[in-house]
Amino acid sequence: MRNSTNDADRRDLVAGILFLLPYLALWVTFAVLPVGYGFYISLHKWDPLGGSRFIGFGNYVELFGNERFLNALKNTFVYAAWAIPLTLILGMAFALFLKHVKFRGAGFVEGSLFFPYLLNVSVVGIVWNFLLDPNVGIIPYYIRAIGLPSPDFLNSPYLVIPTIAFVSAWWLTGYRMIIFRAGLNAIPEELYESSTLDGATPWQQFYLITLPLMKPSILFAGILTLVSGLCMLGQVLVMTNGGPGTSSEVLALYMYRTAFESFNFGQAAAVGFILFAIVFSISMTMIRWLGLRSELN
Amino acid sequence: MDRRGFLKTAGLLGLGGFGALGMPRTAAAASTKIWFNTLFHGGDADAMETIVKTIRASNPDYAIDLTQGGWTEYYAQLYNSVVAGEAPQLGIVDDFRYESVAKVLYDITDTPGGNLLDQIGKPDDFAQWNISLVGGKPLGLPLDQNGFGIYYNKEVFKKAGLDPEHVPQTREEFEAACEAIKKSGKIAFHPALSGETRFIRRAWLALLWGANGTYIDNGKASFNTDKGREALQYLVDMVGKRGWNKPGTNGINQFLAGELGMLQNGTWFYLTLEKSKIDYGCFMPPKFFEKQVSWGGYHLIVLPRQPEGKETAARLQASAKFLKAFLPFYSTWGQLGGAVPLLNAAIADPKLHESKVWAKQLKTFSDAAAKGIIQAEPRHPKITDVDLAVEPFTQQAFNGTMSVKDALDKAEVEVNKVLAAS
Amino acid sequence: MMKAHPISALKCAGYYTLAVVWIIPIIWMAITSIKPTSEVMSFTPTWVPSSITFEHFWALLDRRPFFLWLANSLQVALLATAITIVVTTFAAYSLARLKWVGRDVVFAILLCAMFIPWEINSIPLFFLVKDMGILNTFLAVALPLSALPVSLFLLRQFFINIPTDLEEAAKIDGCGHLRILWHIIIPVSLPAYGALAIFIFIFSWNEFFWSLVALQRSGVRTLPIGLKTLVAASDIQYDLMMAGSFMATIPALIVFLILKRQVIAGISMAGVRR
Repeated sequence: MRNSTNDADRRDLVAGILFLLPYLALWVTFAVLPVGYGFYISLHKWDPLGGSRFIGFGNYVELFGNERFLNALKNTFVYAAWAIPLTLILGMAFALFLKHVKFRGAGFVEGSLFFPYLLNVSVVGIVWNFLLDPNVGIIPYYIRAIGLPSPDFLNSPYLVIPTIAFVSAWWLTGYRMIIFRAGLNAIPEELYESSTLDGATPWQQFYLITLPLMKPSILFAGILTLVSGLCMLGQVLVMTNGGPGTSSEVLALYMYRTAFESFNFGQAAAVGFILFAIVFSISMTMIRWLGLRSELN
Repeated sequence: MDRRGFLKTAGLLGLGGFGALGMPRTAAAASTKIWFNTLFHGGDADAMETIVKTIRASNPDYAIDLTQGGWTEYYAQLYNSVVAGEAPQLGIVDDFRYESVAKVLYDITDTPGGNLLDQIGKPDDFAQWNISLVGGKPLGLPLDQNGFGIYYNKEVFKKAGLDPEHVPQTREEFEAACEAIKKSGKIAFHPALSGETRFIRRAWLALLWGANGTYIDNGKASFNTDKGREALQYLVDMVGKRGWNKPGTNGINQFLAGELGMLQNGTWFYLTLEKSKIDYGCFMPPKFFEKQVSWGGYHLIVLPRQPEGKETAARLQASAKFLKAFLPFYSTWGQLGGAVPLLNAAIADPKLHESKVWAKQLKTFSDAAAKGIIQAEPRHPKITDVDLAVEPFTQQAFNGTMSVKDALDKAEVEVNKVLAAS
Repeated sequence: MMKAHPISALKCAGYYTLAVVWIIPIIWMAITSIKPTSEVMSFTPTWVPSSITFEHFWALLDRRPFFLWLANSLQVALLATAITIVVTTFAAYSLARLKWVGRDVVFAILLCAMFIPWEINSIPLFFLVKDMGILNTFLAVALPLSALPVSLFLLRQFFINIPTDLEEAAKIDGCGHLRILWHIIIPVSLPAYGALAIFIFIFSWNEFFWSLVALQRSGVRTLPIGLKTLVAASDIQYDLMMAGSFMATIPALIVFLILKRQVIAGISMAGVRR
């Protein structure tokens, strides 16, 4: 009896590791290794054509003394501060609207709100560039038509980041809406009914029933949105390329340009590592702090 | 769906996916097939395609693969393809990016295929041979000189009460024309093509040079002077005080919509304009300050470094053969592409002088080039980084979100940092 | 389950309006792509084109290898989906059904990794992939996409919820893990595979950052990257850009209209735990 259990256990162990191996190999190679390799590269003046020089933390020191890097850092957080709440709040709002699914045409509403998520970022950027163009775009046109001066959406240092944040929200809210809908669906209807009988207002219901019971979905969507907000590249590359000036240059874009316009790979890797460290520490903090780990387990 | 169905589907997916492993490779397969990758698109690309096709037709043993397009991605692609060991055998670069990619180019007199220049021609055959030299070594062949000119819409001129056949010759005439166009309800002038950052900087540079200022000198920024400020202020006022346009607009769009009177644009605009229905003309910008200057650049044909191998020498030889066959087509390049071809034989070619493009713009540019009106950016290994450092500030000044003084002060700091870095 | 509450006509109208306004950018893109250029570039927009023209589509196809981009995207997405399914099946089975030392620790680590985007490591990844010799191939993009923790999570969650009776019986009969996987687990999990395939396909199809870095050669560019080259190209104006964008949107639109429920279900499965 004992022997066969041990055998079975050992077989499970071998099989378990073997089965996991292909996935693990891929994941370690493409998600874990680059972090270390990136740090290694960042310690050099990296010349892929030969002649890389080890310079310790030289790249990092240079970066933190470089105003353009600090500007990119600031822009990244400003953008995140705009985009994250916007995307999450809209997603939640839309999910709530669609909660009572049985009105006619609800499918159309859901489909319409979700569809932008299926577009790729270039299409999103191109279309919104056209919509916001100061000469031929319909948004400035109609703003002027009602008598107001049209703001410089993509050409004002103050407006450009909120504008890109709004475009991102238009694009990505659909996914959050779906996540929140699933979370809402999991809340038993009786809770609302009994609380209504007890005299609770819709706002109270939202705060005391909906939000707490949706914590897992909110955390999931929240961290996802946080990460995608901090690492944003596509929208800004297509819409403004960091402009006007460097007002919308975020860290990911700064990294890309340092690598592929200035060919300074060591410094670009340093920017990448810094960005990674920021994202990693923030999301780990949130996971611990908000107890997501226990939720997920 | 049962498991057999699943297997079939998975198998098909897998096959479809793994079939992708034989992905399209545009690199040479046979040993003397060469790959020519250019950064041209639009009219330039069509011109190059026509030329390459003609060469192929009369030399069927030349296996040449031509791919084109994507200026903004081109240099990263070039550099990385050399790094990855899969570079094209022939490429095109702009002079102001030339030195930043010098590392990945061959000295054409000293390649694994020998001295290729000997097989192609002599330096004297080319006009302005010196532009191909980096550190005294030729890293490519001069192809053309292009630059900015001012295109104007004759209809808009007429509507503004201006003589469509008389182009502004002086600063006063130019400003008067702008005011007249503005009064007639159209947009007067856009100095920077599509309004992108680098075009704003180039427009300022032309004014700076016109004021006898310099960009960099002796390893330091030399533009933060009264002349630099005056030049930038004039540019900023165009879209500010004078109201000839607004910042953040795309001049090309405005011009093609028939709303813009005058547009500063590059020689490559020729073919787009020919396809549009606009009745246009072209002239060089007048003297705004001390001398008449227009921003210009050059295109060079280059040979990116190849990985070591037996085929390398053969491919380079084939490239040299192709380039020799290309020389007679410099004139065609000028006729179809709108820029000044940099081969003496081509410049003197009567066919060039009789072509439509000559009448429409090339004569203007050619004369300007000969007179030294077209000025290119100074040669420096870091010139690309200098440009990238300056641009954000000239753009913010142009947008009116930064004063001219602040912009140039900050730009100077950044440029000196760039020039001082190792 | 959900009870349907009647909602006021006002709210209903409000939702419809929201839905229509939300989709206006796409409608405008479609309208613009069939307008003559003079109307596209006009400073006064027109909603009804004076004449319908398809010339922008032809012009774009003539100037850019649009179908090549499409084919490349398709190959990347198919490759990523295929590899994901194979690799994740084994991994999920290991984590859901096999008991072994350290299994839960490994799972916890992978879970935390779910939120870290691998794309910001694009620079070292670029050199890694170059050293592996797969730079500028579709494998370079498909491989990282095949090991997303989210896929593993989705399948594992599904596997865990499969009742174990059949397997117990099979084990008593002496079936090994592979046979159990093949005959029991996989057939039952087809909905999960459907969801996974949809999710990974869409994700790979729209992937931008890493494709930008790894597939720079013009012959292997995918659709999002190809479209990006339209912006700021001196020979492409808004008319062709809208035509290109619309062509790129059509596949998504068709799939969405036909398979809307499956797409939304697929996306939601990838994000929700039970």
